[in-house]
Amino acid sequence: MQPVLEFNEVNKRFSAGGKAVQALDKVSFQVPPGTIFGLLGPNGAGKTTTVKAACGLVTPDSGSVTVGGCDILRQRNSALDQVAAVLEGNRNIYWRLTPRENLEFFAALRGRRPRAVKREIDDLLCLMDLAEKARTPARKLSRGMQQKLALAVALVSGAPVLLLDEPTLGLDVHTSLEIRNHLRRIAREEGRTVLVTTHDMHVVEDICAHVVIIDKGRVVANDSTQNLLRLFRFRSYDLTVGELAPDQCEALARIPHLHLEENNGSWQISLEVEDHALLWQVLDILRTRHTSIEAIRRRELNFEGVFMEILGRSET
Amino acid sequence: MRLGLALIAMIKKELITRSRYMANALGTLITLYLVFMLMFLGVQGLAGGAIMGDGLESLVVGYITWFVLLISYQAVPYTILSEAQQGTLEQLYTAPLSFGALAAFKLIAEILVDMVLAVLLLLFIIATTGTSLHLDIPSLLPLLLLVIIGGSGLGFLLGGAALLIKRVQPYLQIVQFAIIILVASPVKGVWRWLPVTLPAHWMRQVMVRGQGLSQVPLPDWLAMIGAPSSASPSALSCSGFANCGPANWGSSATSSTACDNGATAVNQMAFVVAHTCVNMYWED
Repeated sequence: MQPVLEFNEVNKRFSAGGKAVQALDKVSFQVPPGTIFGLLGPNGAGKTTTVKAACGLVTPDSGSVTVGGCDILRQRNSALDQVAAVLEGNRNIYWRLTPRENLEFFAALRGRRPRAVKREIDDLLCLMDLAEKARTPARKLSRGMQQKLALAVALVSGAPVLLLDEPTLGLDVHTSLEIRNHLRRIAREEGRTVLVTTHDMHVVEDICAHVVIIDKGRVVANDSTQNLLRLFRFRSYDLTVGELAPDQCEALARIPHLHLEENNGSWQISLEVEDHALLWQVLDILRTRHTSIEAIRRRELNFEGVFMEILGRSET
Repeated sequence: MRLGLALIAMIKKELITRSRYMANALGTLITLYLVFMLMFLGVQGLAGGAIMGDGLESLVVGYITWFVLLISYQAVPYTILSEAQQGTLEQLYTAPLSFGALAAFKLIAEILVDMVLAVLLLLFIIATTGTSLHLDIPSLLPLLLLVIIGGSGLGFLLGGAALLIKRVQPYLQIVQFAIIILVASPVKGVWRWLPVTLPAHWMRQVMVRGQGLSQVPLPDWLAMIGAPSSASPSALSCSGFANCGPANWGSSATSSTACDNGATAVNQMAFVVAHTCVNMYWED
């Protein structure tokens, strides 16, 4: 499937306070159409620079960014026709205009006539629960409503690719859930592609089909969310077992990434396994003297754990 | 079609915003009127009760010309500053239109609305001071347009600076008084090559002395339309401006795009200065 957004060896260096900062270091990834794609990383990792490069706000020093097959620098207007961005959440709208006026204004900038998009605007206002506030200046709306309006502004553009920088930042649980539902619907029903940057791992686990993790401007992971979770899910086990004989202790101590600790007559075995053969090896050692297994607990990593693990590895 | 829709949308937005904040517009009008009256009364006091010759009429025309110049030069840099502060500058920049065109549309929208203020101001001043002016609209419109083009040229240059250094506001406030020189300068020697000076002079001639456009000599037309006076800096600024991006806004670091913007603005200034020097040499 032809990617709808493609980064190819993109480099970007900023100078800040006399120091050069490599914001993007050979960043390459592809976003397939109709997916919700997560872009993660710690603060200052280069997420926002990546998003800004995707909508032509940052010019790469080298490499290329294409949207829908159009180079963002060489075919700027054609590329921008296919992309809409919400970069500063609720600040991306005119606070003196009402939601309807905002939507009409930004639709017109995309060449969409007010009459032609009237129905669409009505639907969007209903969808975002803004119909009752359609004539209220945006400055009088709650932050969540303003955020939803900013999302609606991106949607009314008709662009097939949406770039959302921290779309749920500072929102309450209910509104965050609503926005996530909207994003899921946009991807599923309208076939639009959504690139989301976020620090909220619940959002990633909940809606992102694929993630790219960036650290210090470099891509350190690029895989489907499920694969990354699967990769780390079965790695850690905690076993509580009965009395161990010295030869068993010796044999267990030889297993890599195994931590053994006596605790009031029983033993705690913590095991990180690269492959499951090691877990069977531990069980075999316990079986030699029919040691009782009191409990086995599989430590499951959520996406936050996966994220931390990947960042930890990139550090080393 | 897309450009037309964008222009209409920009004008509509301006009208909505201004009508929603009518008190601000009225405040501006009253302030400008009071400032003029203070000037008028002050000059009258100094002159011992009467202003000789066509001094009062020239003062009125000069003040209105300065106001038109002010609104046409402020539109672009103040738009950039306020949109950046608001967070909507990036939205405008990511629209599939050149940012130069959008800035020009914003300029047109603001000028259309502000011209209503200028006309009201003129009418109030005429009514209060009893001034008699020739309002020869067909002759005034092209001159007014040249004043606006000259002012907007400056505005685009300062807009480039606003993108580059962000904290350009104090300089804008200084410039708003410095541009009085453009309106009040004599039209001899190097002064005639200043942007707006000649159109402002001919506005005075039309409104105060009742002259028509047919009396404007060819060299003056050439100077007014030619590069150093007005049109060229604006056109150059517009074309260069389209390449400027707000990449340095909302980001902690300064990008090379921002440096490009700075270079564009500096290049434009250098070009205008160089062109003026060449023309002055040619004139001598």
